[in-house]
Amino acid sequence: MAFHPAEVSARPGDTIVWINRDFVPHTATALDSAWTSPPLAVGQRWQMIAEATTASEYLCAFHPVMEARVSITSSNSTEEVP
Amino acid sequence: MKTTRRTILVAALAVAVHGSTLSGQELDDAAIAHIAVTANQLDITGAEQALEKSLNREVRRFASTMIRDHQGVIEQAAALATRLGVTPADNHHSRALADQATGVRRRLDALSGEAFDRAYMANEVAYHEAVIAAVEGTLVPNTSNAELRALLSNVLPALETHLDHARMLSHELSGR
Repeated sequence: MAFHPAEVSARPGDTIVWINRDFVPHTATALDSAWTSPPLAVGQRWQMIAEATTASEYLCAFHPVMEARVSITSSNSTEEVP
Repeated sequence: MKTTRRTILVAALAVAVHGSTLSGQELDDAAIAHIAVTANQLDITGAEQALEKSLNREVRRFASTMIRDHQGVIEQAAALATRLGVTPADNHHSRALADQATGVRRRLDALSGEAFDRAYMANEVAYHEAVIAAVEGTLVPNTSNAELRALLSNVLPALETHLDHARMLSHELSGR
């Protein structure tokens, strides 16, 4: 189980969407606790608007071996994180 | 003591599923479905014991994840079995699994504090290693129905993540 892609690049104002396409519930939770999704059941999605301070490593609160990263850049992008 | 317990649990599961007296032909889909549900239920029961006894935040988080994930697998397996008209059939392999789990639970019940945490996590490592080996080596190859086989295969990534999580915690606890 993993976040795909493991690193998402976004610009302030972009919307990042997490979609749970796995078999079990997950969350997306910043390591510094700055932001977190609610528990996402299979098929559920959650989105967040990237801010300049959003860049951080995050993990699944239920499965902390699942780690990923949000990077904030100056280029236009909207990426979905399945 | 830890090595002995791990060896006993892994051997028990190997006998229950692989067994010197068992061949793949002895397992039909009804028995495989029952073994799969039993294996999930036993980890839930172990996690419930951990939530009763452990005060360690990370051990409790792991146990909560075991309950959440394995209950979800049971629900999906039950729904599929109902749709396919397969009634999970109790069998001596499921009973052997349950008997061994009862023994483990009794041994863990005699422990407390960090001793319980270390033993619980060590058992979770051994248990998930054994279940992954059984699913990959025996249950999936011997399942006739394609949908049931796919469900068992789809559970493997979750089991492997559970194993990684259990190993991480077991390593952290052993370093204290």
